[in-house]
Amino acid sequence: MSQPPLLQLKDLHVQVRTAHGLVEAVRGVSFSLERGETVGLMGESGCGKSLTALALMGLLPEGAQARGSLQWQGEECLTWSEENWCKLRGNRWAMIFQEPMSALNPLHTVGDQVAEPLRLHRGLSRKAALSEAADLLDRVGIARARQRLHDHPHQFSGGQRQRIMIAMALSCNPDLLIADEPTTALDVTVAQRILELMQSLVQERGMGLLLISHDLGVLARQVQQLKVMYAGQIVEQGPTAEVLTTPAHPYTRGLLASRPQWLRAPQAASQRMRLPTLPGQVPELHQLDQGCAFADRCSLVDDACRTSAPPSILLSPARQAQCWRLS
Amino acid sequence: MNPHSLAQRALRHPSFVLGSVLLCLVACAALLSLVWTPYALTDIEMARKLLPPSGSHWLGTDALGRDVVSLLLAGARSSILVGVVAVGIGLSIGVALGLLAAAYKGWLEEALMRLTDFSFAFPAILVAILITAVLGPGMVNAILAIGLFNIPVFARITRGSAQAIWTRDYVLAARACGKGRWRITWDHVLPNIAAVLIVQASTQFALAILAEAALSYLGLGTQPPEPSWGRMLSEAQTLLFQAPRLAVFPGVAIAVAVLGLNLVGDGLRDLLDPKLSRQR
Repeated sequence: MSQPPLLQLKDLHVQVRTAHGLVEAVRGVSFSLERGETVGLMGESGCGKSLTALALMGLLPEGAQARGSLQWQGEECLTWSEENWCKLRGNRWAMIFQEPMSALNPLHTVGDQVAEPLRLHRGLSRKAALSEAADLLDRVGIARARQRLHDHPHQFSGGQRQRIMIAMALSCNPDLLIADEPTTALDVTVAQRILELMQSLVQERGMGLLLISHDLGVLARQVQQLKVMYAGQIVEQGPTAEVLTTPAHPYTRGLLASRPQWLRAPQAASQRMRLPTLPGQVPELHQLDQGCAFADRCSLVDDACRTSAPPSILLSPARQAQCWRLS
Repeated sequence: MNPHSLAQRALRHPSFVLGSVLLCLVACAALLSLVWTPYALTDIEMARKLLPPSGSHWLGTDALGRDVVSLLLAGARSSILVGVVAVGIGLSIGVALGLLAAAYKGWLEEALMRLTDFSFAFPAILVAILITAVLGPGMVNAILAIGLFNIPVFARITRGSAQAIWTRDYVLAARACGKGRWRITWDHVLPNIAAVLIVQASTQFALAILAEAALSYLGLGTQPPEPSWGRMLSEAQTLLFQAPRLAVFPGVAIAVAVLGLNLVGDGLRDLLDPKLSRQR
């Protein structure tokens, strides 16, 4: 019998409470992730990426509910108690957040914060944990790590704080790292170094990485598998290179077309071309009806798109897209 | 934050220093009264009643011929006792309830907060009068009454500040590291609301001294012969036109204690902020 995948989601739905009542913000997301595999989740703001990530950590905000199936090495987690989750979080699964400036407690020293998961999950003494924390900080590229253990977060720059967050997340050698927009709040050069660091750590330790971003450029270089999300659903997925070179879903195509051209052909910059844009915006979730969620913004729309949900089309063994016009 | 730099900064904080000096005065007066007062507190001598300040009685004597300095020194004792115990009761129970409400939410939070709403519907002093009227007048009951009223004050401010901390990113990050509710409450919530609580405690301490004075003034607090600044005020009332100084001295003593507490509270708020502590 083959081993069950590290992480498997089947038909995950997340409901959130809004002014318009209960709304499905994640609508049937399924995918799996193996050890050593890197998966990217891409989409505009409000498409359900972060909620999916929080559901994976059992950290949904108050009033939000998940249903479907979420399995960790074949074990169902959605029904777990808080204690079970606490044993897993920071230990086997770790998460990095978007805002390094606010994700560290301003009152505690950086050393204590990095050491905390080690003391919590591995029962190390404060001294042993601090010594290991220094090694971790050194590993993620904090200079003079041992001396800086006793500094507070406000004495570090944004990039350094994100490195500290990574050190914290990796402290217990997790099997899975979930990074929710880890570089969005950082400037480009710092972001690049953080991504390289994450990539090298993933390869070195053979953990699974779920990278969430709205930035195509980031995902193109960082992940093997790409999932494009729209309005709470995965509309297209497949190996990153294939999705980016031959996008199938009109939404993916629209996104790729609206990248600045000079990234691909520098001479085009001089022609002062207007960038193509995707008309309209992500629909309000409470207004979604039977048809395809992208119908109102799609140039290929026809009656079928508006009346029933599009089927999932298998484009190649590893590629799928949800669109009527592909069938 | 190492203690050395904290002490250094404390010495450079003018209002903290002034407040500490005032509080030290009050504390020293209380301590001194335990071992020595110029005259015995029970030394009643009608022949020397209402004497003006002089060499032998620095602040004069009251209607019963007791030495005002002695009374003031001993009165500091009851003020401090009332403040410490009443704030202690309110702080320990109120903060625990507030933290519990913020950590568990749901019906527990609702119940606790409606209970505090209920207690806020009655003016504090009225509740204190009610309690002392039911349990009988006396210092212990006055302290209990003031302490009880402090519980909802601390419960509410704790829950409010704790709720704000629970929504912070670092709490989410701590949860993502596998910390449970108790650890987060202890490691993240409590330290981050400590400054608010300390400032509130200094205010409540001052209010407790005032409340004790008010209860004693009404005859429901400290009972004779135990001296209290509030009782001195109440006894001075009938003699306001003959000897106004008898009201002024305890009034000044109360003002000094309250001012000292407020200044120290303000100073602590600044000193405990880690962002201000290590400006380079």
